[in-house]
Amino acid sequence: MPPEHLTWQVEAYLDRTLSAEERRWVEAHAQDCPACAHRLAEARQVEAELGPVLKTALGQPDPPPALRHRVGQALRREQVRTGRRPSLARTALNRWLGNAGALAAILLLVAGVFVVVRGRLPGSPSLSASATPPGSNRAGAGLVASATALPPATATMTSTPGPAPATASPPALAPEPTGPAVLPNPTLTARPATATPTATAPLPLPSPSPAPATTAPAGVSPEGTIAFSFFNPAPQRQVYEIHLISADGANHRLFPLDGVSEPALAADGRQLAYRAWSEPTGPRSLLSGDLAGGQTGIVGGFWEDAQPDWSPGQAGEDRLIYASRRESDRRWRLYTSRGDGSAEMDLGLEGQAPTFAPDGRRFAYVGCDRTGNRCGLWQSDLGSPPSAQTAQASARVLQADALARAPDWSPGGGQIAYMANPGGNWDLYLVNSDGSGRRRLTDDPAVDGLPTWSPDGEWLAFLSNRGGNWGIWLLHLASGERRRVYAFDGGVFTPPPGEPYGQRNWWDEQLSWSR
Amino acid sequence: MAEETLIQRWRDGETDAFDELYQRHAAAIYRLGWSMLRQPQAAEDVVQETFLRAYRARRRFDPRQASFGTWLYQIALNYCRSQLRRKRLLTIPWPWLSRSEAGAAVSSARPGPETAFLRNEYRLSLWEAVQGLSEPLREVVVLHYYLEIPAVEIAALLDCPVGTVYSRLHNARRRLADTLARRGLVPHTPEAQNAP
Repeated sequence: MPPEHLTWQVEAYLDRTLSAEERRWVEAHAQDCPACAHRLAEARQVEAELGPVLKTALGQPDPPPALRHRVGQALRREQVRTGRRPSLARTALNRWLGNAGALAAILLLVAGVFVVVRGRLPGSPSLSASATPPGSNRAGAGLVASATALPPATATMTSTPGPAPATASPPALAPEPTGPAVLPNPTLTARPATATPTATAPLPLPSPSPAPATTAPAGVSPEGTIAFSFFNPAPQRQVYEIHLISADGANHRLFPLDGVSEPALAADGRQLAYRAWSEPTGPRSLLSGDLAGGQTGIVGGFWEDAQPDWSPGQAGEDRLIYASRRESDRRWRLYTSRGDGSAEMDLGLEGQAPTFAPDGRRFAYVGCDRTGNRCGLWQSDLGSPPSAQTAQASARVLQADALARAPDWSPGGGQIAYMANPGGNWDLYLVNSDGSGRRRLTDDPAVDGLPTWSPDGEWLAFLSNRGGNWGIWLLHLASGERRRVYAFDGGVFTPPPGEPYGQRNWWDEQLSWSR
Repeated sequence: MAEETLIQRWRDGETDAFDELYQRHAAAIYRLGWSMLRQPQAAEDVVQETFLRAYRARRRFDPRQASFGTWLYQIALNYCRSQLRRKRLLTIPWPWLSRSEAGAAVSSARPGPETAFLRNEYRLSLWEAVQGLSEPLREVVVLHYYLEIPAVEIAALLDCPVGTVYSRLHNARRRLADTLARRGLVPHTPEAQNAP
């Protein structure tokens, strides 16, 4: 019985494997059925493009010449291992020269091949550039390139004078959010520099406050590792970098992969999830791996996946939550998966900047209700086992503040820190995890943002331009003491608009603090 | 030299027969490995393992059931799948087609700027959509459109009826078209009752 609509027959028709009679039947059917005619035309178009697109994207690499020798050697070892070595006597050379001559000839041949191969690929692995397709082996290359070193050069800058306007951004879930405090685009004059950046002309900022004393409260010492990222504008860099420091500001080191940002340290401090931007360092996606840049897993797999946060690791669970604009409507939605990217789940919630509670089930995020109203901080629950239905049913608003951003749930579970801009200036805020007890933590005229909790819950690290110089600051909640632990020296640079970064600013990044 | 003769000689352990067979099939196996595992070293391993396993199983090769090339593909595909299962963390499954690469892929017909942009977007979206396919669907798409293996051979390779291959290709293409339609790059299929 013929089908009501063409299905696989479309492919067989295009593949020219149908008989003449079958082809005529398909053509006649398509004439009477607009949907099938459309499918046929659509299939032709896709088919015409698929081959070229795949061949362009994947390349058409040939195996390196040395591989033939390597496979031949492996086969010979196999022959020896299986006791079939005497069969070599049947080679043409053996037949001509006899066993002794053949052995000598083989040795000479192997030596000759070795010389030829060495000659073609002097001092290099067997993978020649021509045999390596574009975008390949990127994580490995990045790992080897700069496992421990700081960037070889940094930039100093002179910036265009002018105030940094501090206006509120549109609601968080708008398809193309623009920011509240666009920093003037600096004019860069880069030079090969010393191991650490030094400021020659800091960004002009409105009424910068003097840098406060950096003395810590007596007997209080923060511990752990802080990860942050920024765009390095040096001509020979021009990439986002992730940096790691000890909580006291010492032990500064550069994460070995380039073109990466939005770091999220796992609770044990051994794993890092991050956003990779371009092929030279890896696939453009969220990735997870160790702090040496190794054992990278693909999370999500879409360009638009962003803002990862690890489950605090209760019961050994290795879970990430993150946001993405991967759908065609470009709206931010929330997803969760295991740390290696497996078992991904679309939570069915629109939102961004998700942060796990210590129980690894509840999470807070920036979102709105289904009608696009009541935008602000929201909370939900994955349930156990994690379920999108549970998450959707559990969603409730915590703070109806449309200018709340970058929430981070405290390790103790009782509070959520976030940044907001109610009065035209970004400051840090704290709210109890049930939505009550909102209080302002900072009131400095400088920008304070991107808060992240210390593992012991006593400190917050945040980004600030206090004193006219951008840096990573710590706030001790009990004493109110503040200290700067890292200076960007020169400002927070934004990448030039366009691929691969698009239009970004400081509030698009995130800080992370772990053991 | 006829492939059957070469295979017979290789079965007997003649290394020059291996050289000739390698010359004929290594590139295809390498590209299969490259398309599945996305790392040059891993693709080289696929070639080596395929020839090693073929050598070990050479007595079991039956030319009446499949061509030697298809048999090698089958061995390579099984090896790739096992590697994907074992080394998921270490595998970079799919690269992204950058905008510049997509631009280079625009046809040489030199259409107007708008058309060129649309084609560019179209191809980018098509590539993104391929990457979003489930593994079974992506596999047949790559085998058929990238490696240009006929559906009949894919059926032998996957040990399934050819109708199943066409059905997977159809489902894959429908999903690709749906993705493109959602992005406004192709018209939606006219609504039809009972359309699968």
